[in-house]
Amino acid sequence: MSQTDSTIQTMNKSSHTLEVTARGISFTQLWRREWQVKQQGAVQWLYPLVLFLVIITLFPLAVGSEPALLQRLGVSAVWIAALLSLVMGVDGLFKPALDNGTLAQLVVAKASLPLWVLIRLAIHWIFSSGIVAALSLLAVPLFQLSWFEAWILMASIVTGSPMLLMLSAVASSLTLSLKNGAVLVPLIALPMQLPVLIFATGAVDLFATGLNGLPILALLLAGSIVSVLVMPWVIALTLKMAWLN
Amino acid sequence: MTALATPLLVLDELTVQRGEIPLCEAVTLHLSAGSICHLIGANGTGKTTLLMQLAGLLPVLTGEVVYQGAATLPIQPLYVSHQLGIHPNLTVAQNLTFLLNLYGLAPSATDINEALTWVGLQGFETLSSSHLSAGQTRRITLARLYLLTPDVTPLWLLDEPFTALDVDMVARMEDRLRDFANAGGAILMTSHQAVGVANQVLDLSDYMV
Repeated sequence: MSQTDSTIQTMNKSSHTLEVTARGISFTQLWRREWQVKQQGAVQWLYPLVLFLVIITLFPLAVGSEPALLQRLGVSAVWIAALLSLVMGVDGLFKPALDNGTLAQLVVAKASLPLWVLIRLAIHWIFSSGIVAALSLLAVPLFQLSWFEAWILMASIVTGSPMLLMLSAVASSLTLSLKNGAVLVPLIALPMQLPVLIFATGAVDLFATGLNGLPILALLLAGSIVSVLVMPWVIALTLKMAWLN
Repeated sequence: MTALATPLLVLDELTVQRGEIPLCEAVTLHLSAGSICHLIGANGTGKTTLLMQLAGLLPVLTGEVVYQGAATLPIQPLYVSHQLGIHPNLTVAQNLTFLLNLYGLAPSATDINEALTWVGLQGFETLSSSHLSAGQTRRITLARLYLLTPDVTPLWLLDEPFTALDVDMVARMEDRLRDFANAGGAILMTSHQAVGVANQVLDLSDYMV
């Protein structure tokens, strides 16, 4: 599309005024903007999901078709795939906003950075772990898990993944000012995320053997709630510090 | 709007510095409503750093910045920098809407169309910003100048706003700057080109360490 200057209308600039409707950007406006950014950048969020699907599809092919072995490894395989997919997807969480000046505009306009971080992560969660949780039901045909185990597996991903995402996001924000910092994100985040992986797979195993794994799921949920409440403030602080470097 | 009794912005013995290294010392400036101050100086004198300090992106460690008599920034200044705040995933209209939302404005589709027409981007509303040239991308961020008045943001901090713009667009921008200043706003801007509408000049070379 091309435009020549001769087609540009001369307009009376002083005749047009807009009324201020709020002190700054609202929650809804921020949510809509971040949703549009995510929705219209499908390639960026589809890649980790494809990675997840590739891992859980290749795993049964490599292990073999013995049902007992597949059932024993299924939960761990799906969880490892979910974790790797989540860690791979956090690279673009904040770096583009720093590079393209969005973060600067938010700071100058005195928008709430923790709120923006929370919204951005919530939408990222929907487009990553939320979909991964739904896709985890593929463990029924691929790993011959029972539907009951598959639902518990999905519940463990739903309860544990917010905490995983927050830990990855902290690592991502810490490495923002470093050249090739994305390489360091898994190295920083994975050691902190391992306990979540162990607890989550343990909870599904308990349910599968007829024991009560609910306290572990409740613990994961509590950890996720606390991290969702605290981490956006920590991340907002580290993002501000990234300016100084 | 009438001129304010107190200066809109006062810099008193300000040290322009980023990190540990001071670039300029004892910078002094009085910027009143109606002022268009052209910030000049050789490369590396700290023009961008000074604007970032005033925008609240970098701390003021030495000296004083007073906005309308207050030590803290009570307003949302407009800050146009080399990083434009344009997300390539979004359309032209979505990007402009966001940049205006930041100032508490909720522009209608008509407002957006008028602002984009003013910068010569009519018909581009639904086009992805990633398809635009550097100059056109810059025009998106400048389109908000059309809708922002001194009531919304009385201070504009513009870092090389004319970069990548053609002659006609620069002339239209200068008209808008003059209108904004006449309406009671104040502008502090850098530009390596001559700024015909400037009524004040601050040369940072005079304050270099």
